[in-house]
Amino acid sequence: MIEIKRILLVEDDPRDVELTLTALEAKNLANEVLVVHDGEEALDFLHRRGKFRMRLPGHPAVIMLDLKLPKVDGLSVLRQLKTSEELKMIPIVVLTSSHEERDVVESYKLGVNAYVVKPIDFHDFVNAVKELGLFWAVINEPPPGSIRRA
Amino acid sequence: MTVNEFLTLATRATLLLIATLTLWSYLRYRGRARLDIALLFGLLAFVILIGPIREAGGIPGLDDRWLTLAAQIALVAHPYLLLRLVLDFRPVPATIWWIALIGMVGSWLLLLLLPPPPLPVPATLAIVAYFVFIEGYAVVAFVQGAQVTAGVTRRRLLLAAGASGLLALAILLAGVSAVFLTAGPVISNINQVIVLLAMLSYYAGFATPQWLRRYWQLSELRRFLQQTAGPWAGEPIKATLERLCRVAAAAVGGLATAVGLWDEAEKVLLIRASTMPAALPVGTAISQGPARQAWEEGQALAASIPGDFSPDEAPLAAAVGAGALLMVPIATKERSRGLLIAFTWRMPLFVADDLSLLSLFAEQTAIALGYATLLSEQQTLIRQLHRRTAQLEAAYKELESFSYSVSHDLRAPLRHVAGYIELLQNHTGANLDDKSQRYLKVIQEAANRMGGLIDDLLAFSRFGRVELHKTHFPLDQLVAEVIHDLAADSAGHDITWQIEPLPAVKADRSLMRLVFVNLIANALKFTRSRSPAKIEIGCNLAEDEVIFFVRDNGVGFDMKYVGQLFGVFQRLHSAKEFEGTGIGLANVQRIIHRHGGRTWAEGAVDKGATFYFTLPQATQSEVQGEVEQ
Repeated sequence: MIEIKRILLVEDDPRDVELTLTALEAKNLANEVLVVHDGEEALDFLHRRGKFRMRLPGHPAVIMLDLKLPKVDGLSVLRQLKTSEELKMIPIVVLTSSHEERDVVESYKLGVNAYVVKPIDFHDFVNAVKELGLFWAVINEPPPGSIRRA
Repeated sequence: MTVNEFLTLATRATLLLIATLTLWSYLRYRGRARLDIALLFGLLAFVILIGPIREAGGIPGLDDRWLTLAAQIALVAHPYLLLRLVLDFRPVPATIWWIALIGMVGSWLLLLLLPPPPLPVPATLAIVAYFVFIEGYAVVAFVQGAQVTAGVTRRRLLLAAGASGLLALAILLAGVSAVFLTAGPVISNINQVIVLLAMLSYYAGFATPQWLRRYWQLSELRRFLQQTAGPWAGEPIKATLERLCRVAAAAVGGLATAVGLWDEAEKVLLIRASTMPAALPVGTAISQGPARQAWEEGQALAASIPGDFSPDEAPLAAAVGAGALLMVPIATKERSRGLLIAFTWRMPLFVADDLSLLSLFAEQTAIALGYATLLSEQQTLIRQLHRRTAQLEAAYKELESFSYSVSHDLRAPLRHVAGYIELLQNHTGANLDDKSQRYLKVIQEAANRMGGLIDDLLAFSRFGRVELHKTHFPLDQLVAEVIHDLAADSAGHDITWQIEPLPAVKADRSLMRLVFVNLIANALKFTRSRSPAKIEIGCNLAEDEVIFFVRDNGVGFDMKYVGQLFGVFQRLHSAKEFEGTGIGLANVQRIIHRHGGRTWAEGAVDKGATFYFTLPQATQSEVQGEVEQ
């Protein structure tokens, strides 16, 4: 049985996964993260289908979504989630390398809850991710149906 | 006055008038055809006028018998003369010629040698046979001619055929009335009317009065103009030329017409359209002769067989069966394109009229061709424009996806370098010697600097692509804001600001803000060593632009390197002396270029620098316009 965790990290680059988890570790949030590696996996997980058919019910408290993803890209995932009656309430934070204006504009049009550009400087990066994790997974009151802190 | 008397008088008067007119026409213009026409009507008039002369008592001293004989001789010459007129429209076989000639001379001999009156029946029959045969032939020839021609010639031939038919009918009726004398007065009246109609038809057909001819030609012209005015847009040139050929042939009764367009490369007229492609094939070249002459002089010209034709034209004329050429240039005031050539059987009676009508057609066609050319040039330009736009759009898309990819894909590994160096330091930090620590620090700094450069480059690229949101705003306020923001960073620095009043401009405010941020920050940066630093901001109005400047008394630069100042990542100072990546002035230049202005700089080492940029004055007038509104 696959567990469900409070943070769903959608990130294809294992280095970024590692750095993100490292950053979250500082706030003891690393254990609260479940990682999927492309857009299709993310959708399958959230819809409980495919290899996630058997996962436990419930929604993550936040989805950290990269934009450049294999198979289904981040903007498509965002569009599909925000148009799904069942899933559109889940907070989504875009966490990406780029601050291309069209990505920002498109993400907000689709209803993203936050848009964060990963800073190049590691300290800045760690701080940003820590704050994000803390805010969305701990401070923020998630919508009904989300996993709560144990 | 009885009806009969009135009709007789009318017929006589009409005929006399026509005979006089045709004679006058011959005397005035000459020409074989006019002579034939004058002879034909003259003889008919003579025949008719014998009557009143006899009624008036004849010519004194001349036997009445001779008058009758003269009338008869004149009358039998009529078929022969008619045949000669047929020749003006189409060829006549030699056999028919001989029959006509022998018939006429034979009839004369019979009339002169046999004792009158009345002639013996066989002789009368022979004369009537000759008369009816040749007249009949003429009628058939006219009808056939009318079938193969169109327009004005067709109408003339139909009238001639009708007239010949009427005349033959009149003679038949006269014969009937001679046999059945009782029917005399009625038939005589009918006959008078028929003869009158025949005369008028002949006249209209052969010696068409100018007004009638003009009227006919006018209807041809009207039809042509209607056709030409409609489908200009997009009609192929060939179709326009072919219509010209058709209409021209109909209007002047040509056997065939052709259009030769001037070929500049070969220096010849090349036939591009004709009504008789078998005889006048498209592509035939005419390089000499009257056609060439008409082209070169830009004049309408008529030429006739055989001497006038050149070796280029003779075979064409022979193939068509033509004896004359009418040529008019297809030209507008601006441009001559070629020649309209009408092949006619003989030189037409009204050459000047025909030429001017053809000129009118040709001129209209030249105008239509001009429009067609303009249209096709315009379409070519539009196609080119579309192609260029598509290319530009493709290049723009490529640029966009390039910078998008740079933005996403180049930054990720940089972040990883910086991140893992940090992890490494955390992991083994205490175990590393100072040298290793320094190496790691350098790597980290390099990664961060590269991140900065990538961001700078992306921003620079964005300034080239971003849409300008022009608004109307006062520059004074913008400059004050910028100075206020930057002054915070230069606290403790003794600066003398000298700011002139600046005009309102219409520009993208956030981009103009960047321009001043860059220029003023530079001025602050390079006057750090000065006390007091002096920074001057102002503008000058030039003819069609406003020149802005930012002047400082800083370290300046060597004018030798002025060309490098606005380049991307070009620096005139080391990073140690003055920090920065060298993107600032490149951004300034790009933003100003996007607004349609120019940038340049003046300076000297240790004597300060002045940076100039312009905004077009048109922007100013737009501002004025908006203010007035």
